This record gives sequence, C-alpha cells and structure tokens, in this order.
Amino acid sequence: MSTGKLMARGVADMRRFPLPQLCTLITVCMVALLAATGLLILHNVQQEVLKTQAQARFQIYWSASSNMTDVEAQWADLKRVPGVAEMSTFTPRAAMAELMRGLSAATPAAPAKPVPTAKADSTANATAANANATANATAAPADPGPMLPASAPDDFAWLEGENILPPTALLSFDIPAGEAPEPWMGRMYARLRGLPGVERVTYNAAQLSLATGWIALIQQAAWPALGFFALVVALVVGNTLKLMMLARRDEVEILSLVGAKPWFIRAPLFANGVVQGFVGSVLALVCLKFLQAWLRSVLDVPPLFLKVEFLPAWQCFSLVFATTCVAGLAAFVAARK
Amino acid sequence: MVHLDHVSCVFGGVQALNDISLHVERGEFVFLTGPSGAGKTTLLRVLYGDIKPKTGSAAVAGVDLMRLRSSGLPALRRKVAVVFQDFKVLPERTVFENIAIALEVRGVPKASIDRRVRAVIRALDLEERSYALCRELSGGEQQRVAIARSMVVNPELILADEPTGNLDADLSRHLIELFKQFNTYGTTIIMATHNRDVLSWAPEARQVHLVRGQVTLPTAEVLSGAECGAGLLSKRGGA
Repeated sequence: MSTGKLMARGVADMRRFPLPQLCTLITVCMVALLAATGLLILHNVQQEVLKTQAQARFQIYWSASSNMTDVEAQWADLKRVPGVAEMSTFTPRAAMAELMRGLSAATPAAPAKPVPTAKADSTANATAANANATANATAAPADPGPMLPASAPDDFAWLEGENILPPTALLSFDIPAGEAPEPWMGRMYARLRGLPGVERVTYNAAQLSLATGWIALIQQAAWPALGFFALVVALVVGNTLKLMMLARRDEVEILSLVGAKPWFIRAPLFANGVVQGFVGSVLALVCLKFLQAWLRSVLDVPPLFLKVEFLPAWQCFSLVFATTCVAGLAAFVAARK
Repeated sequence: MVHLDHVSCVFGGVQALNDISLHVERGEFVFLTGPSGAGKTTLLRVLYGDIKPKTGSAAVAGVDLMRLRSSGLPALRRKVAVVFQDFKVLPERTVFENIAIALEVRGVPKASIDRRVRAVIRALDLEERSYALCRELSGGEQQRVAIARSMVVNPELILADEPTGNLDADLSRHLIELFKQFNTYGTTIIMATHNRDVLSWAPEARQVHLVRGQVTLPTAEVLSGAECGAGLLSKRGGA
C-alpha cells in the first residue's frame, strides 16, 4: 500500500474515534490559541512602538531674516527627499499664530468660548495664506473648535505682527531598512544643516534611541517567547496525541502481530497527527481573529486609540506549520512501541 | 520449523522458561499443555518474537530469534500467525477489513485480497457477517475472524494461545477441526491449552507439557484425562 493511501486511511480512520479526536482537537486548538495570543501581543507592542516612536524627526529653523520665497522653494525640495514620511512647515506668521494659540490655551480658567483649530496641516504648508484662513475662520460657526479661555486672544494680541519667529519645518523620516539609526541621523543632520539660510537643526536622537532600544528588546524577547510557546505547544500537543494513541493501541498491536512494517503502522497515525495539528491551529487562528476584533472594539476608543492588528501572514503560516509539524511528529513518535 | 535449545527466559523477575529444548518439524500439530503459570504463553511469545530469550539458541521458520532485531520482526511475523484467547480483532472494523488487514500489510493487490478474504470467509462460515462490525459479533464469530486472519496469509506456522478459552464446547470443537484441516494442508500448528477435551479432539497431535517453565513428562492425571494417551505416549520423546 502506498504512503498516500496509508495517509488517507489514517485520516479516514479518525472518524472511528470521535471522542478522543474531538478532545485532542480542542486541546491543540487551545494551546495554539495561547501561543497565537502571545504572538499577537508581541506583534502589537512592536507595531505600536514602531508607529509612534521609531521615526527620525528633524526640526529645522531658518534665519528669521530669510527670504520666504527661497525657504518655500527649499520646503518643496525637502518634500521630495527619500524617506520623508511627514512634513509640517511654519511660516513666521503661522508659527506666531500657533504660538499665540498655544499660550492662550495654557492660560488658566476663564469662561470659555469656542475657537477653531489653527494647527498646521501635516502635508500642506501652513503658509501665510493658511494663517489668514485661520484668522478668517474665527468667525465661522460651522466648526466651533476647542474651547479656549475667552480672554486668551486679548492677552497675547501684542505679539501679532512682531514676526520674531523664524520659518521652521518639522520632518519625520522613516529610517531606510538596513541603516543604523544614529549614523543615518548624523548624515541627515549634516545635510539639513547645510541648507542655505538654515540656522539650527534639532532632532530626536534620545527618543529614537529609546524606541530603538524598545524594539531591540522586543525582538530579543520575541525569540525566547517563540521558543517557549513552541515548547509548550510541543509538550501539550505531543502528550495529548500520545494519550489519544492509547485509543488505537490495539490497532497498533494487531498490525504489528500481522507483520506490518513500522511505516505501515506509523503513516496513518502521522497523518492523524498532522490533520489534528493543522485543523487545531487554523481553528486557533479563527478564534484569534474574533479575539482581535473584540480587543480592537474595546481598545480603539478614547483615550487609548489602540488599534490591535492581526498577526502578519508569515506569523500565521509559521504557527500553523509549527503546530502541524509538532503534532505529526508527536503522533509518529507515539506509535513507537 | 521450531528449534529451541536450552532456552531460558526471565520475565517480570520470574524464571518463566528454564532450559527448554523443543523441536517441531514442518507440518506438525503440537499442543502445549500445563497448568496456569507453567510458561505456555511465554513460550509462544518467544516463538513470535515478542520476548527475546535470555540464553540458549532459538530459531523459528529460519529466523534466528537470538539475533532478531526489531527491524526483522515483520519478516518473522509474516511467516508466523498468532491467535489469542481474547481474539484481538479490531471492533470498529468489519469482518472483511479485519481479515484483509493481514494481506494489506504484505502489499497484496486489492483484487487478490478480495478473492482470498472471500474464500476464507466462506470456509469459516462468516459470509453473512462479512460487513458486520466485529464488535457486533459473538465470541465464537470473533474467534473465527481471528483464525481467518491468521489463515488467509497461509503462514508457515500458526501459534494459538488458548484459542478456545472463551468458547463453548461445540464451537471449540469446530475450531479445532479447522486447525486440523489447515494442518493437513501443511501448516505447522502449536496450540497452548489446558483443556483436556481439546486434547482429545486432536489425538494425533503431539503434546508438550510444561511445568514451572520446564518441559516435563505429562502427569498421570493428564494421561488418564486425555483420550489421546496413546498418541501422546508415542510422541512425547520429541520435546
């Protein structure tokens, strides 16, 4: 009898032992779900750190006396630099408006009245026109904006027209794959610092270093965690399958008595284990999907806004593959005398 | 067919077989008799390679048991069929499947399996139950299935360990007739039993009496109880 037929027989024979098979399947599914949940947590922590802190941010200050036409031309060039993920620019007027708004917001306790947002657009320049639009929007009734103290604009009205602030730009970069963050930031710093009219450049070296450290820690923890999960899956699935094989021990004994070769005995049991591992791990992923959807609905609300993502395809595949292999191997070993 | 010389075997801390010598020629029918714990089952287990003797030399169907490795076990068991008191059939499989399994493990083509299994089923009067699950059969029917499974492969040697132990007298006699029939075709049969009636139904068979793991002369009780005394006396020197 060919190996394929033996495997098919092993799968077909699963119906002869419905209760042990069901119990084993539930166990495999639950253990795989436990491992998958651990992976989900690791993955999402890493994603969150990457999303929020793993970008290199440069704040560029031009001289206050710079020609705005030249500066705006530089901004246009900077947008095209490879790796730029986000760019916010501030003309002196826009920066002043932002400063006034910020200072007003910091002034405590006065009866509040709504004013519109003057935050610079992350993709478009907060140019003078933008600032004007902001000023014009003050009267717009459609968007009441945040609640600010009623007296705030009056308190800092004297700042208007002073133009004491320089043009600035805030650039966020995705560090290219394979680049070490710090040398790359050093080179980018030198490049930005060399732009005409640029007076000062600051960047988030410490924050990035912290984020990099976190990511390194997570990546270091990932392998021991994966190893731990794999060990748990192997032990539980292996022992469960061994117990299930007790239900088939008579069959193994009789096959041995009639002269079956080891592979003839083991192949159907191996197929049984493989199917158990595969179905159990796929069911675990289905359960995990429900869990992830529920977690997302619970956590993606103010003030958390945590978007719990599902495992990437390669991790799903790895989980199914590893569980299937372990289950098949355990069944194979369990069939030994 | 069977050549044991000074075989000893310790099983579970007990000297189960003690310096046994036994030679069985091809086509012989041999009864292993003796009280419970005499070593009959242990001797059969040695013969089908389930236990390795501690000392002596042993060969069955040309296979040296002293050098037998686990990889060589299937080859031995394709020459030696075993029938047990507790049948050892697969309850969740049909009669046909239980018998066919012995041929499947040998890689016999499906058409040949069908033909041979049907022939044996007919010979053992199991035709009406061919596709019944074994758990639905009576004890006698299950034992016939076990015998059919051992016979369908046309083994050189059949070892039977108290095959009539769970059966009534009529059925037991019928089974002995079956064994005798196969023996006439040339199959060597070694059957362990302590049932005197069984001994009397096959008076031509040689008897080997075991006591405390040793081959001995049959006691007077056995001789007087068995109707086959003459045959036994004439062949007792063979052990």
